[in-house]
Amino acid sequence: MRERGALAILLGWAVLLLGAEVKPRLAGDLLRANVAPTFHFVTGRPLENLKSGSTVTYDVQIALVNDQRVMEARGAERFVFSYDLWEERFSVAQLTARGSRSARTTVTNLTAGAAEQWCIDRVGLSFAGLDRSRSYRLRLEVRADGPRRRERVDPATEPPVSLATLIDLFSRPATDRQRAWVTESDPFRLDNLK
Amino acid sequence: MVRSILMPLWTAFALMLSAAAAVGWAQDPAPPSAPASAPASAPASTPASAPGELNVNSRYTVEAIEFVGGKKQVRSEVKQMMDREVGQKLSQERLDSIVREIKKEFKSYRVTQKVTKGSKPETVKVTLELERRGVEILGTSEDFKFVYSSRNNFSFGGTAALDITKRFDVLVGAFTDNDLSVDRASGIRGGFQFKLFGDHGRVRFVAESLRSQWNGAVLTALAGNNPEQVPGIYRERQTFAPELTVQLMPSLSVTGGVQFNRFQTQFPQARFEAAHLATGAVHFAQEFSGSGWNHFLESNYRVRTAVAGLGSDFDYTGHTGGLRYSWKDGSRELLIVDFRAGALNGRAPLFERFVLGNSQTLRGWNRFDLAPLGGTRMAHGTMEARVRGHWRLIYDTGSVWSDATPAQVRHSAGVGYIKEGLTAVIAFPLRDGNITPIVLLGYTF
Repeated sequence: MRERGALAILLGWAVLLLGAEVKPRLAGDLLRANVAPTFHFVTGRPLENLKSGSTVTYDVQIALVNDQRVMEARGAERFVFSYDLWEERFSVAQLTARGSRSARTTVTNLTAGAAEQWCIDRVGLSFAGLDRSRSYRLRLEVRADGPRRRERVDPATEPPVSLATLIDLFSRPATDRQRAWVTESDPFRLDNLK
Repeated sequence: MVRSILMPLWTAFALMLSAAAAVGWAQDPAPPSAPASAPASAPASTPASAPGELNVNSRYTVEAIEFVGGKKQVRSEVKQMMDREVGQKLSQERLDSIVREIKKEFKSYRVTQKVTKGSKPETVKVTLELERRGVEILGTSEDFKFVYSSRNNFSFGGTAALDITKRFDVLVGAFTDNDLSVDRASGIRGGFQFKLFGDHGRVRFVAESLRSQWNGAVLTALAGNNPEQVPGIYRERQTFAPELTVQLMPSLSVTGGVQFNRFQTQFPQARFEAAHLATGAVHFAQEFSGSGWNHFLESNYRVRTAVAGLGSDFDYTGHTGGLRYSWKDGSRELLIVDFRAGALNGRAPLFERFVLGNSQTLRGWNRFDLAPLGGTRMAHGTMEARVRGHWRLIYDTGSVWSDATPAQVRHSAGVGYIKEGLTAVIAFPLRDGNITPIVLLGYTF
């Protein structure tokens, strides 16, 4: 139940104490995340589901939090993973499409690590209007849902997943069916980023 | 003896077919859960690769699709939906439709889907497997039920399997039964079971603690019996039965084990006796599907033999066998023919003796009128035909006897209303003289 979600978040915090697995980097006017090779989310039950031929939906969010752990800005994207049973490689489709209904992107033939990295690289947040001299931490949160029940998306009739939907999703604790991975960076100032 | 039972069965079979044809069972409307044709979500032909599919495996062709449900079978409509997927590109949407149909049929189960590589390149195999969700009721009518008989009052109880892990269950049960054996046995049951060899084997340890109550007819019959032939009544009984079941083939399983019975006999003085047994069973079940019709054949053989080496105070061997045929339209049984027989050699405790005249056999007869002490030989045949909706015609014939008493074949007939777990039967003994019907009500969970 909720306790399991809370436990996942606590474990994430425990990882934080051992060393940051995520670091911020600037990409134009967006802030993105670099993750350590030790950070993985294509694991456990979601990976079992993928290798059973199902798809798994991952929601990925990065957020800037201040010293009081209050969120100042965030960006989120939704991805659907599948595992090619013959090629033994992962395929990822990005469902969110910022500003365009037809911008859904798919990549194939990736290893698990490359697929994870591809997702994280596509999540960015705008820090316009924030105090660049203040201290922030970058929080990366990934949630995996159970095997996706609705596999087919018709772009003509269905709008892409909105950022508001994902913000709403990340505002609630992970449910019993969800797995969650959370990690935070060390404190940093936007002014010091290159 | 067998011939005298089979002949009336055959006659009843012909009569029931005539009656069923007269009222037109084929015109019976299909229930909502059994669509007459494939749902719209499972079209007969589909595009080679649907646009918008997010699963990379949707470009592969389904080589085979299999349902794994143990003894459980899907309806013929669902089977047809599954068969239509073979040769098509993998579609999660259509698989979901099939899963939904299976879930409608097996509500207390979850359905897991697994897609694996096929035997040829660019093909995949789909396996849809039933998994218990939380608590499963062991068996069906045999284990978890409520039965009321207008002659013998209530019986109820059952056993639940509590999932501890995917492979380990704890068994907990309680029951009072005044239907299947000579006594009313009331007690509790507990144990555990492990799955082995994937899901093809099971080790089970079950213990029971029972208390028996006896009908006056039993006590009267015992008073005139030689205790060397029929042992006396007992008050308490404890059993412990470890057993191993292995599924050799999808349709064939074998079971072997031991059963320790300890019970407190009352006469000539109160003392504990033991009947420790080696047990074995073979079970075969196979469904033969046609176009809209399924024929289900099930047979079993069971042997129980007391083993002196285990410290048994009794020396006997019991054999029982049965054959059951059912003709189904989807999940509805149109016709059931069941034959069973048994033989008991040696001096066996009362709980081993055969009983007819209960909620399953010779319905309409009271078991205490037929053989209050049970018998050492038994043969029985049943025929049930669904005539309209949930109504059934029932005909039973059989005999229970012992070496010292001659066999006498009895017959009974009845009408039943059977819908899902609910059964209501009014049955009459076919005999000369006074005929008193027996009302049977049952509910299986």
